[in-house]
Amino acid sequence: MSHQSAILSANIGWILLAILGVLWIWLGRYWGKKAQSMEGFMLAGRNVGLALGVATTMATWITSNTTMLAPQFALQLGVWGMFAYSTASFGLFLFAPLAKRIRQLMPNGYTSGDFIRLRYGKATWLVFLVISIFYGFTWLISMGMAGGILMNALAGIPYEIGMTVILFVCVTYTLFGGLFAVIGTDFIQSVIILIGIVVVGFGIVHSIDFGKTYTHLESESPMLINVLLPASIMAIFNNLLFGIGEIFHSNVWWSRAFAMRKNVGQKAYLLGGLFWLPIPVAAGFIALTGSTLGINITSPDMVGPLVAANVLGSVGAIVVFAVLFCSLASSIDSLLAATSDLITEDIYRKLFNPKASEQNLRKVSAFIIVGLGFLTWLICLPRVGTLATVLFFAGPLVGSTIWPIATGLYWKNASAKGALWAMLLGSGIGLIAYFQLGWYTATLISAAVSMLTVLIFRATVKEDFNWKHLDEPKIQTAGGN
Amino acid sequence: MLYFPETFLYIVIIGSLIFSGVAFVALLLLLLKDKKTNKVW
Repeated sequence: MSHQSAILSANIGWILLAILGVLWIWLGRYWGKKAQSMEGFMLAGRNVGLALGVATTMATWITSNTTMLAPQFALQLGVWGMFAYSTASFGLFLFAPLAKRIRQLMPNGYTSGDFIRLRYGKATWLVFLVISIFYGFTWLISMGMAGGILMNALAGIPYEIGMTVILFVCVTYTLFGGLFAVIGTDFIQSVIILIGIVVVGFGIVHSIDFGKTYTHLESESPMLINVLLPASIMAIFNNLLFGIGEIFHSNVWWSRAFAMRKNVGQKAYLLGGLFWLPIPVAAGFIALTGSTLGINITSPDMVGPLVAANVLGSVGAIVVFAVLFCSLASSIDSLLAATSDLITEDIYRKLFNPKASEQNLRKVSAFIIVGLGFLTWLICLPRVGTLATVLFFAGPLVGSTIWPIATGLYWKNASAKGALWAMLLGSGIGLIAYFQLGWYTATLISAAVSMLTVLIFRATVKEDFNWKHLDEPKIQTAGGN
Repeated sequence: MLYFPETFLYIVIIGSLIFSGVAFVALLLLLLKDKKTNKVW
């Protein structure tokens, strides 16, 4: 990335990095004081209200991938690319009723893994954990990389150092405050992101000649405004299903469903989705102005920040810096907390130490958060590829979980074997499609195969699940404090 | 080739920006409401 000159001076970059880093760590410590028990640390006391619920839903879903990949989609797939990215909000809309159902069926639940284990048994649970943890890692890696790329492109801070600082800040405040810190900081981050997007967006609209930009696109890159661009239309369905798969299976979203007050989850996910819907368009359209402005884009995932900084100068670059830092932090912290919960609860406690004390679980959880951060850092050191390459590899895997989860929550006769084979076949065939046909078909094919498998097993295997089995008693810990 | 009309794109982009601003205000109002009823956490 050093081929593109930085827009901010390294000094300003370091100052911003220090201010935001210290602020998040301080807030993490402040809210972390509430996390006295394990339930407080993992689920913020199961008492999160609507405002924080909406903000955390929206901020977590506005990742660096939204603010950097949406412009990349616009640059490569045109107008449909932006719309395709916006369809990821449908995952939040569709999860809204599920969040309500989850809270009803599992009032004492902790993780998405709990549901799969209780609903489908151990074999399916193990496959699910592999998919979910792998996905969590790809998401973390894509954001760690994004952090390094951002620091480098905007302020000339070396990729390795920028990436290290962002991961360090997020690991530290998540460690202090668990989900209390994550949700509290998410509110402030969502406010900063929204202000930043509106300021940068209107700034660019004000600075460019919209008519001229359109004419330029029409003559130089007509495919970008083509209504019938097949790859882009395919990308819509792929992205829609990828978003649904990501949200339906990931403990990031399940932990919030458990953490929100009764009757808040459904509203929070609906409003969060609604507030998220315009963001990819608001952040993505600026990429379409890049070629008109004569900006040389050599790395597509940096198109958004580069255009914003070029048009709006230092102020634009500072705002973009803050927005991207918040986008990154709001998702990295959520992933660290949710993945750590999944490993602590599902692997450590369920598989190895069912009688672990609360103190012991807190220690293990802290160790896992640090370990996850370190592993992510290690994998991010060499830049693997573009953000899309890293993220979309997980698409077919998460796509295969949509149907087992949705039907498992509503159909008594959804088959355990069907869920297992749906995940295995969907992931396998989806990955073949990823390599043989292209990333934009992989999730689509995976979800279709998974759906067929679930339906075939439902028709052929007779099962009658008792919903009461999902209501597992609370964690009974020895020597809890 | 059939293109997205210029006006349509303009409306969608400006609409997205305005809606993002509305979301910001709505978040603050929701927080105020939760504070009043003591339901923030």
